[in-house]
Amino acid sequence: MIALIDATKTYDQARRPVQAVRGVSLTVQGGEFVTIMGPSGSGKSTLMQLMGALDTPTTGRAVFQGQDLQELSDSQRSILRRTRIGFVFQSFNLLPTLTAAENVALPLLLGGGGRRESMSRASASLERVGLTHRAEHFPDELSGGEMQRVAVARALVGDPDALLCDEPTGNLDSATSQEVLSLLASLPEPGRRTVIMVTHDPNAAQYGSRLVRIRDGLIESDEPVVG
Amino acid sequence: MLPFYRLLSLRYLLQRWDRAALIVASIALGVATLVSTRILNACIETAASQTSTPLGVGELLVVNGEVGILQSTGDDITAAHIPGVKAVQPLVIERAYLPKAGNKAAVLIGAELSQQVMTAENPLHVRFTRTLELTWANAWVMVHRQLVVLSKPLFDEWVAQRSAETDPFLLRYGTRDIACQPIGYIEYADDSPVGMLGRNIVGMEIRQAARTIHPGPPAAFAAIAGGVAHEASWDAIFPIRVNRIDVILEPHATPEQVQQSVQAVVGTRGQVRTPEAHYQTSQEIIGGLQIGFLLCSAGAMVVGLFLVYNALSVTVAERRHDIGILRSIGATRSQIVWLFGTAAVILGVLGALVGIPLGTFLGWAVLATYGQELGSIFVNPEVNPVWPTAATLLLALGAGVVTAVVAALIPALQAAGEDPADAVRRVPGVAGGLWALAHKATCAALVAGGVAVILTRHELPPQFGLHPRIGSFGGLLSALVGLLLAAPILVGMMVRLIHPLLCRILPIEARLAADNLIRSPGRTGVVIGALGAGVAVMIQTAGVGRSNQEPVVQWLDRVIVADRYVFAGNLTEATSSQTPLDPGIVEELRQRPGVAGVSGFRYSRPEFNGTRIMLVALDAAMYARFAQERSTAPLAGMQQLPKLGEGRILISDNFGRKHGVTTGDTLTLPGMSGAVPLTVVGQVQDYSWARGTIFIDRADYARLFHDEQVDVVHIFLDASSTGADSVARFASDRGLTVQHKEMMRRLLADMIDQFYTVAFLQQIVVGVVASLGVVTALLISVMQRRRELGLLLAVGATPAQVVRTVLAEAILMGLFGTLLGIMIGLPLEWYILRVVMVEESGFIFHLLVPWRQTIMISVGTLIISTLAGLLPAWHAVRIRIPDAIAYE
Repeated sequence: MIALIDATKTYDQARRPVQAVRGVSLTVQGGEFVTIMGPSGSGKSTLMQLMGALDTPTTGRAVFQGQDLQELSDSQRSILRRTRIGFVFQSFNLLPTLTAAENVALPLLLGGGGRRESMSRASASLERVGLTHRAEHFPDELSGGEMQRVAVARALVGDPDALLCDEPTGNLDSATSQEVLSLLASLPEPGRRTVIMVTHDPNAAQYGSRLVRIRDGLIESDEPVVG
Repeated sequence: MLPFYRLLSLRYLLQRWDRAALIVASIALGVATLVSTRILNACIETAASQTSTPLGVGELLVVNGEVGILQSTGDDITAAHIPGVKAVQPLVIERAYLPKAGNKAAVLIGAELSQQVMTAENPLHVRFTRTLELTWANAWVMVHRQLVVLSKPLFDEWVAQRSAETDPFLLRYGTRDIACQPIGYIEYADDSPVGMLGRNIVGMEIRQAARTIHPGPPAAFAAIAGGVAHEASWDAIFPIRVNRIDVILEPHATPEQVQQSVQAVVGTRGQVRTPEAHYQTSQEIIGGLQIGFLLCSAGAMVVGLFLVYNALSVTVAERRHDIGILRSIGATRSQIVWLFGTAAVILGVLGALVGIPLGTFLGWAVLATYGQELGSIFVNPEVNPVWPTAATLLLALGAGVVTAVVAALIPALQAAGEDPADAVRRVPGVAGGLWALAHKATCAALVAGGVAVILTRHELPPQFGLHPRIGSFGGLLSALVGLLLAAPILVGMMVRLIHPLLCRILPIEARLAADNLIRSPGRTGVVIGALGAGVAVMIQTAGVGRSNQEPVVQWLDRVIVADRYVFAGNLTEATSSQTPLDPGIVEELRQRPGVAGVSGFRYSRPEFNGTRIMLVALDAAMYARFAQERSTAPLAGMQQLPKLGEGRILISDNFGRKHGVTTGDTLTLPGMSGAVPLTVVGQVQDYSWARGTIFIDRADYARLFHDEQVDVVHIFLDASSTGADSVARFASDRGLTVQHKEMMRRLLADMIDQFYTVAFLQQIVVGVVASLGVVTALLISVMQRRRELGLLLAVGATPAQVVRTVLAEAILMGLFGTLLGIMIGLPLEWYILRVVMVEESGFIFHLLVPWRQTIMISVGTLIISTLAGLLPAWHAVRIRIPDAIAYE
């Protein structure tokens, strides 16, 4: 479903090139819950951004459902993200000026959806994460766990094929983390929806079906999660 | 897609209402300046149009400047039976006064009433109602009174005021009161040809009107003689002169062909023109003023544009993370551009909606202040404030929206260019090298292009409407915009230059502020540039004002040498030839006890070299004798005055420069019976008229131009103490105004002051717009320095220290803005004085630095910029330290 083929990514940092990913090949099938672990600066977030069409490899290829992402224009990649990929970030990344429901409806509104229909689907998505009662609240009125569940609801509202989560429990306490992880673990659909989660928490990694360890921009290990 | 834009744009604007309000205020002030100048221009243009072609009903006009044209010329055109000519209508239009109605002004129209007013389908579109039938019983009025038709309001006023039905309607022209008998009234719409001339209209048969204005010497003789036979012979000796002859064409006539044929009949007695071509002569005079007004509003819009750009750049900076989120969840680049575009359109519309009423109020306020002066210049005494036209409203709305959208373009493109991954991760944005290169190239192109246009302004192709004046103003605007755009570069250079010094002498708060200026010249530079532009135009205006005022006031001291000045109405009316006096008054004053000498002055504005020049007729020998006695420093050229007469004239210095005429040359002016040749015998310093002045002996003028009237009488008293009272009594008895020397100097100096006050007020609007920019720039600064300010607080800085560092940045911005303004303002003053003014008027003024105003403007700018720092400083001390220094 998602594949990186000998992908590298080099950034210019203070005029000095930094290679964040150094030739990674990784394939994720539909229905998998893949966790990517590694220390800070290992390149795990970059890896996720390459798979989620947020960025393109410097060399090598990134393929989403058979489509080479580098062959797509910027607009096409935007539409791909909007319709087939959902993102969940560590810092929630909710727009502070919008209510929870409006934040969730945002991808639909971006796609040209009518307000009424978009808000109706946003309500359904919020219901799925158990936050119907917080729909009209603004982000600063929500707890960390609630904000992250709103972010998950937003990622799910377009019924995406892949959900990419960048340290989704990084800013949460352990009880709330477990709630969010349980929610994420319930999302993969065999043969269809994939969840890819970047984390540095070994406990969080246990919720996935497959664990990829990364260090210095290279895959160190790739194995199924046992138990 | 609309719900998306509405949701994000509107919500953000409502939550950041303070910044939105600043942007709206910036746009509103720009739009207000535009609307007010459009209103002023419209009023001046309407008044000028009414003055040049009032009651224009003909497709062709036969005119001859202020000298007028013989009515017999119209008879000749009719007699020639030129194919295509349907009718010929002579017309007299002059300002008159109503002594029984507080001496208020009215417009006297002389026309063939039976054809132009009293018919059902008359060309002036008036409805006539007769109130008096002439019978044998009341035939006496035919002999003793002039029959007139009044406008309805005037008629009603007369009926209400008269004590008996037999009371005459009194009309004053110059110093003569004329008893009139109204025979009816006319009603008309405000937008009809007559309506344009106001509410106070007095209609008279053309011959009577012409004789009211130019009775011929002596006036009494004609009145005593009376009778048709005598009229005919009198007309042969003193022919009837009208202001204009309208030629009405047949529907299918070719105007160009008819124009040639009519011109052949008229010969050198006048010029045959279309109303549009005739209007151009007035337009040429007011064109400079209008361009000045428009440049000022354009300046305000440009400054507003940069500030809106700056404020929207803040928005982009502030919303960078939001943009990253939007991009990560699928927003395309074009959607991001549209998002900011929508916000800009909303702000532009709001700014325009606030600016339109504000501008209308400003325009009206200026007209209320200067209405009397404007009313004195033009035929219609009512220079009424007008509402903004639909075109002005659309232009204002368009200007507001376009300003906002253009200003939003670069921030929006920058926002759309954000890499979503970087934006989400909060990686600092870096301005691309391409942007920097494009910025430098644009600045260089605008400055170089502007300079090139200025240098080649005389070679601009006129067939595209490119007058040299457009080149000098347009090039200047382009160069100024280029310099304004280059302000971040200039500011960066200036700060780097003095940074080592600042580090040595300033406390830590100010050093941090200086560092911040270097670190983000793009943000602060634009505002400093805008502030600099405001300061520059204010200093330029003050400098041009001082450079003009001082020599003109010194000149006034040297030429206002008579002891008393007698005229009718106010001084502007008198010098505009709106309130002429009978020539006999000069002789009567000469005979008064205590009067040593008298010189009558008559002002007219004939056409010369495609414009209207000033022709001043004076009793040259008399004036020269007394002026040289009284003046402590007589003007060079004054000694030539006694040589005037027999077609010899003096010209002003600026006339010589502007028209390329010098001593010994012969020039021709239009006279009633053809061109009048005049020989230049000398030049004299004079600042009366921007198109140049000619001085002629009054007796010569009366002979050559058939005009004996006088506008102002200069009186020189003898050593006895009786003269002053004697002149005062004489003036009082005749309802005339008398002023002494000092008062005249003060009146004229005040008129100059008022003119520059208007210009200065407009520049202050630009300064206020720039000050608003300081607030937005500092708000951005606080936002961008949030982490740094939080860190300062975390390591023990007191809130007072944080306030000081923000205020220090504000003061530094004010300081650099002022320096930049002075650096641009003084060369600008030189350019206006030595290039624009010399080409426009031929006047040469030396550059005087307005030290006092420069100090006041500098102190004012520093105070305003410091005050502008208070709100951002308050925001700064409210920062939560953990939020500010938190890492992702």
